[in-house]
Amino acid sequence: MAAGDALLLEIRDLGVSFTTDDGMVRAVDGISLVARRGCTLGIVGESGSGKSVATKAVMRLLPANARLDEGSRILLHREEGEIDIAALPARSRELRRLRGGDIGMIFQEPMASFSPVYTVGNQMIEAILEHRDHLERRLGERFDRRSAREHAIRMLERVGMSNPRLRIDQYPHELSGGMRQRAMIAVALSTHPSLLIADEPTTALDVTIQAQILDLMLELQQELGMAMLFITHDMGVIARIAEEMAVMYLGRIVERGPTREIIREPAHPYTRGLLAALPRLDTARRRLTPVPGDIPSPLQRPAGCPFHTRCPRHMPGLCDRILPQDTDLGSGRSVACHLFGEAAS
Amino acid sequence: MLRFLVQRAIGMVVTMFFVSIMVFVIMELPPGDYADRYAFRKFSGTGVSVTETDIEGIRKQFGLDRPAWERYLTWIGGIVTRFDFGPSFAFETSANAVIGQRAGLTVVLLVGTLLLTYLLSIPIGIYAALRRQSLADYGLTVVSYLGLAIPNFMLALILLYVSVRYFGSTIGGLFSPEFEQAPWSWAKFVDLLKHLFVPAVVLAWSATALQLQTVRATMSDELNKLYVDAARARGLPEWKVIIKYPARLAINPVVSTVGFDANRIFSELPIVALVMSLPELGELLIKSFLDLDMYVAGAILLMLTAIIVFMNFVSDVVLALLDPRIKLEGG
Repeated sequence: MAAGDALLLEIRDLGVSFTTDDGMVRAVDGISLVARRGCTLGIVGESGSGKSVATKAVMRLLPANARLDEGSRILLHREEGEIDIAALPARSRELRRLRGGDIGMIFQEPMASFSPVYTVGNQMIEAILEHRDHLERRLGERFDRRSAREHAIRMLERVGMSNPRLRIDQYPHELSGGMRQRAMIAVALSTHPSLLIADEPTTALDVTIQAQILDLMLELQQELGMAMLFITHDMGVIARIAEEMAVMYLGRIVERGPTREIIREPAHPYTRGLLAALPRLDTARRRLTPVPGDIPSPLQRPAGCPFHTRCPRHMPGLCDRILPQDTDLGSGRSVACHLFGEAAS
Repeated sequence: MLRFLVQRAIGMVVTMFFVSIMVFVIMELPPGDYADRYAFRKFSGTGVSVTETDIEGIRKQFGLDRPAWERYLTWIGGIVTRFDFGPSFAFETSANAVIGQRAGLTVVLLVGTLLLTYLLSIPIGIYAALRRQSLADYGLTVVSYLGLAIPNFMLALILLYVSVRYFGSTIGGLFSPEFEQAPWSWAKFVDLLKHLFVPAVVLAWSATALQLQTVRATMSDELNKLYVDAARARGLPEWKVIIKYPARLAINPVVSTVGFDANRIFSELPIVALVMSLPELGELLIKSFLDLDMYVAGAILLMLTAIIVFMNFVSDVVLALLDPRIKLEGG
């Protein structure tokens, strides 16, 4: 395991816009994030907050109508040196080496992320063979078709699949939802990536299975010493898995810092709203307090602070005019809200 | 897999049994029978007066006096045991001899047209889906809809005119004059292919237009599926992602409609054949019905349906091979 504080992924001023029939949609509006080796960074936000788009940008999986800002930087610090993913040509060999090699990714819907017409093993071995060189550097073993299959079986076993020798030749529809997500994790981890991007990996699963998968991911993270970028809309999941978190709203990061601190004492009104909307067993009789209103359409971004349209502490004349900048709260925390900025004091 | 094959094969035989009964009923449907027609042909204008007894005699001679079920059994028995489709009254020979060469030509034209359709529509459909809303996509769509919009006989006439006027070749009929009587040789075979190419293009055009849109639509759907991004996220090269994942599923609807396409081509074949003076089955079918030459008509109907039933069987099997989600048991 590398040093705990070593930088792995550095996102700087990432902006993503989509050209649509209705006009330009600004999905991610200049965010900066840092993921460290062996640590998990959680990104929370509602649908439409841009969290998925931001992580897809890291893998360069955005559709053709998406455009990265000129100054966007996605720096991956590898042992061989750093590389700017944002600057790689779309079909370059370097990019393909990163995808599935240095960076693994798992998706929200385990059923849809496997092709129905190939066996689990087929889709797994394909990835292992594609990253032969990378795995040789990592494990000191060069795989051929047969040893790749053995490696795949070992990985399926490692993620807790019963009877992996049978499972490897089964089709995705023959596995249960939880098993499929385990298989997906096995595929992503079979190439020993240094960064795992998990896009709502537990959202589509039952709560009990969800807990199992989270435990498994934590365990594997420790074992492989990889960093995780964990996207979810579920504060409970974040609290469980991420050391650090960032809260996104309408393409911007409104609050960030150590998870424990933020959950204990949320600063941004939006973060407070998210936490208050969580069902809690000890207050089961009380009604939940949801964040009022809906997330605005990214086609009509509000002026000023993007959250002011729903904010309970909205200050007219300030919040709807001036975009709040990040304010350092100490101990690694920062918030983008006028309540904490110089304007408020 | 074996059980699946046997089940489908049995289903095919059962279907064919019912089809044969239906074909026989159709054969019986036109008013009158060949005895009347024969008497009319032979003796009209000769001054000989034909009595009811004479016609009865002719009827007996052709075996048309026996009850329908008996004639059905003789007919189907001959087909199953000796592959004998019965006599052809009008040509005064067997139905087999009349149909013989035409059947071969029809099958060659059908298979050729199907191949041409799929060779064109699958890659073009995939390409159009990848370049959605580009100039190439729109261009291909326009060209394919032209094929759908222009009636086949019109297209055949245009191609006939163009090839005669500008290329000086005769594409009507099966062979160029110099090969008409020549023994089979490579040159004659090539000449045959040349003559079959134009009707195949005419027939394939509209079928291609339909299938192209099907492939394009399915492919566009599949391209947006998560597993495509998942494959990219595993680091596969783009061409491998496209061919192995979405393209593989985009051909499923094409495979499942092979029987439908065959049927379409059969229905359009007679008109094209008429324009290009090709001796194929559809034209003979119409003629034999007009002549009340029932056994020839029955043989053609039976063969066409048999081919379509068989095509459906093939498409079922291929689909089961392509898509593991199709259960091989039951159904």
